[in-house]
Formats: sequence, structure tokens, C-alpha cells
Amino acid sequence: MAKTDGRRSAFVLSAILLAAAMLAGVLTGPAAIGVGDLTRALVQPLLSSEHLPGWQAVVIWQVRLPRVLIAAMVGAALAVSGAVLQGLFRNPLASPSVLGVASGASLGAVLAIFFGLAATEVWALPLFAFCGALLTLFAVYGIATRGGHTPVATLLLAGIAAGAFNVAMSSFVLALALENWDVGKSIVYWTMGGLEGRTWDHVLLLAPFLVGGLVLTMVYPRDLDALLLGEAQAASVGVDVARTRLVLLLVTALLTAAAVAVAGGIGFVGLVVPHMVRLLAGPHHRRLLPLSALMGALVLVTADLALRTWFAANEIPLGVVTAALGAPFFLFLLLRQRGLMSL
Amino acid sequence: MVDQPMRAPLLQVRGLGKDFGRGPVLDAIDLDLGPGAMVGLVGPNGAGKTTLLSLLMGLQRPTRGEVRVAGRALQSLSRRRLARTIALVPQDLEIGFAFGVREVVAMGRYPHLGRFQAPGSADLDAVQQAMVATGVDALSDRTIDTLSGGERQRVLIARAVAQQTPVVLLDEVTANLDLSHQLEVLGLARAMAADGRLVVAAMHDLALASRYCDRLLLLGQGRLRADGPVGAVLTPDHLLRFFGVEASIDMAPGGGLVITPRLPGDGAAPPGA
Repeated sequence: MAKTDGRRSAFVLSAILLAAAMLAGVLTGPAAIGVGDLTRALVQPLLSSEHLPGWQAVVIWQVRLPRVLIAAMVGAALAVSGAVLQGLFRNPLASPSVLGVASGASLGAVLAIFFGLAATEVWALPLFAFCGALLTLFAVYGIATRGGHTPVATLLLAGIAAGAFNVAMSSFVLALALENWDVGKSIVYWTMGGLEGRTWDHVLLLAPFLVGGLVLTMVYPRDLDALLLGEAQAASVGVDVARTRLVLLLVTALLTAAAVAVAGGIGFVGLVVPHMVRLLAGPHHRRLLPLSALMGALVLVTADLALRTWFAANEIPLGVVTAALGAPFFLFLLLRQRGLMSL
Repeated sequence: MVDQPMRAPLLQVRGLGKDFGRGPVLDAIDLDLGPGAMVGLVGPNGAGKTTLLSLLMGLQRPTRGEVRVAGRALQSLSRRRLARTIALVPQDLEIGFAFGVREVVAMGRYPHLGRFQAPGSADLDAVQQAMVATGVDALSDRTIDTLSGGERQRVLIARAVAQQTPVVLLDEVTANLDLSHQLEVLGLARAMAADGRLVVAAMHDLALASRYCDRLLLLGQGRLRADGPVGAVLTPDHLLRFFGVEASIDMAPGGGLVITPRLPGDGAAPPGA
């Protein structure tokens, strides 16, 4: 059927584009590295273990590959979180930042930098970020739940309140930190999001959460579809609304926390990518979730690529690029929606 | 009016009550509902009709009392088990996502499918039959966010029909429909009841309720004020006490009742039919 073919080709196309973008990502950078160098770097370890790697291989393996992989994984994690939250809240404006989880992770990371822990221990920052994210999620869920019921509107409001609190506290810490310019600068750059200096440690940190999170969300596509008709109707067709919502909230919190812990504050990917996917492939979560992961990866890898190609001289944070691209695109979506509705 | 022989209660309600912040919305509800009947739930707005249906469906937990489904406590049934027994059609739904009509109706089959099981030919047939019976097969290529309120309502009804449950709860589903569609839907409900299902329909249109239902439940201020055949429930006395309307009631030629309210300026109303 034409429809299925079209949607399958969306998968294939995204996968191809992603591979191309990742390839370009590895080949781009201050040090000149060509396809030949890349092939050698990938193939040599397989052929002979004694051969000493050239400097190109080191750059590829230690600097570029992790960076590109992390960009892909963070993009995927944020996009899937956004897609799940938009389904859970039946609101196309929901995103990973809506529950205050991203800002909670941010606050944790900021505290780690402020107390100097991030400089000494690689695991300190991600750990603090996780704790911040989970604490915020539990607080928000706890505030919004009474007698086993968690009304969606209350959840959203509690999330907004928690987010505001987290942002205020982060700013407070930043204000204290500015006396020591290095620490302050660290915090500011981290908050704006970026992939500088990310290593395989970060990849290993993020990978289990990404894979686990994606697998878990793929257990619930039917429930998410049913939830689009509202919680009463979803329960009416047998969905365990309370449990589904709890599991999915937890999963998105973990995905978001992992992404923020590794890459800082990167916005709009979780909001805009699911929309793009819905336009291309429809709202069915069985397609929406994996396709969002692919497109999220593609978007972030491309954004990082653009950053390193055109702004290599300045240190523009990745979060700024996604915001600069994402906000106008979001506006375009809104106007398009409004235009459609007025017809 | 058909004389129903006594059958085992499919839904049994004892002492059901529900409180919200300011006090009881429902209190002391006792009901026995058996298969093969179309039961109308009537009462003024705020009387608790939607709450009662919601409790029957297990969407809310009662503050007092209990609901038993085929002899088993409602709380003890899993969501899926319950969904294979009772289907609920709500009053109206805003749906902002572009789901296809057929896909929405197909959701009615979810309780019958394993989590990763694809719908089989039996499921697809059930969906098609449901769409034909509710007249939405003409809309099968549309998406639900482009439909009018009435069309959307009929799609939701089709979804409940596709669910093939012994009990179907309808919450004021005729509110947004053209008269022809109202009659279509009520005719379908009546056919389902004749087929052995229990249909409980909250209705605001008393005349239609009297025409299509065998039995009426009158809710007033959260309590069950009357339970029985149409003529025993819709009396001028009840209309005055619970709807605040003075009216005379006559039998309509084809069945059902004609309710003639007394408007200011009319002469004195005759004392009942």
C-alpha cells in the first residue's frame, strides 16, 4: 500500500541521512581528516593489534567518534522523551522541560560544578544531574498525586513550578559563582549545552539509559495511542492509565536526565522533532517513537556539525544553535496550524 | 413495553455513594441490572448521571458501597477484563491529533488483543460491522480531528460497538446529533439490547428516553428517586419535584410519552394523564 511504503521510506531515509551526517561529523573539525584516514582508523584495529595508530586515528577514536555518537544519542533521547510526553499529556506543546526534570538535572550539574566536584571526578556531574532530575520528578509527582489520582493539569502546573524553582536556584548559584570567573564561566557554558570534551565515559554513561529507555517506551505504543482519546476512554479500552503514566514518566525522566547530564541544556529537540515526525509519518506511536529517535539523532548531529563547520572559531554552545533553529521552526508550525484552522 | 423475565443481575450496585470536596454527589444507590435491557438514566444536570456511569465503569472509586459485575467485585477485575465486559461512550471529546477514523474504532479491539498482538480478521470484521452499524463507514478515510461534533460522537459509539461487550454505557451521546442520527443511534442501542446486551443510556431527552427504554432510573440530587417502567417514573409529580417543571403527560401513538409543559400564560394544567 502506498501509505505503508511512504512511511517505511521515512525510516530508511532518516537512517541514511543519519549515517551520512555522522560520517560528515567525524570528518569535520580543526584537524584535517579524510575518508582514507577514517577507513584506516576503523579497519586497522581489526587487522593488526601491534600497529601503532596514527594521530588521525587517535583524533577519530578519542575525540570525534564519541562526540558524534553522543550527539546522536542525546538527540534520540530528547526526541523520544518529547514524543512520549506529548502523548501522555495529549498536548503537542509538551516537551522534556515541561515537568521541570531537565532544569532539575541542570541544577544538579550546576551544583557539582560550583562545589568543584566536576573538575575532580568525571562521574560527579552526571550523578548530581541524575539526582536533581529524579528528585524533581518525585517532588512533582508527589505534589500532583492525591488518593492514587494524578490529574494531568496539576502535574503540568507542578512541573512548571518546579522548573521555575530549579531555574531560580541555578541562577542563584551562578550569581554566587561569578566571583570566581572560571567557575561561573563553566556553569554558563554548561547550561547552554555543548559536546566539547565529551569522551567514551559519557557514551558509556548514556548508552544503557538510551537503549533501556527506548526499549521500554516501545512496550507502550498502543497505550499511548489510546491515551490520545483521553484517560477515561483509554481506561475504557483496558489501559492501566496510572501504571502506564508512572512508567512512562519515569522513563522520560531518566532519558532526559541522562541527556542533560551529558550534554547540558539543549532545548527544542524534544518539542519540535516529534512534530516533524508526525507531519511525515502520522501520530501512531509505533512509528512515532522510533522515528523520533532517528530524527532527533539526525537533528542534533547536524546541528553539532553546523556548529563545528561555521562557528568553529567562536565557542557557540550547542543549545544556542538548537534554540536558534528550533524557535523559528516552532513558530512556523504554530502559524501553519493557525492557518489551517482558520480555513 | 416488553415484560422482562427475571434474569441474573449483570450489574449489581449496593449502597453506592461518592463524595467530592463539598459533599456527596451520589448516595445510597441500589440497583440490579440484567442483560437484554435498555435502561435510561434520566435526571436534571448535576444529578450525578455521569458520576454514576463513571463508577459503573470503574473509572472512579466509590466512597461508599460497591459495584458487582457478574457477581464479582468491580475492584477485583483487571482493567482489561473490565474493558471486555463494559464499554463507555462519553459525552464528547476534543481530539487534536490526526488519527484515522478506522484506527479510532479499531481501538475498541484493544481489550481483546495481547499487548503485541496484531488485529486478526475477526477484529477487522468487528470494526467494519461496527462502522456500518453506526453509519461511519462513509467517514473511514477521514481523520478524527476534521470531523464535526456529531460525526465524532458516532465514531466513538462505533468504537464501543466494536468492543463487543455485554454492557454498554452511553453518556448523553445524542446531545450533539441531528435528529436523524439520534434516532439511528438509539435504534442501534435498542437493537443491541434486544440482542442480549445491557445498555444503560444517560439521556436528557425525556420523550426519546420514554420511547426507546424499557426501564428508567431517575436520579435527583444524587439519589435514586425512581426505578421502573417508563410510566411509573415519568409522572407529572416526579417532573415537578425533580425537574421543577409542571407538565401533563400523555401516551404517544407509536409508544413512549408526550410531555407537555405548562407555560406561564396557559390555563391551569389538568391533574396528570
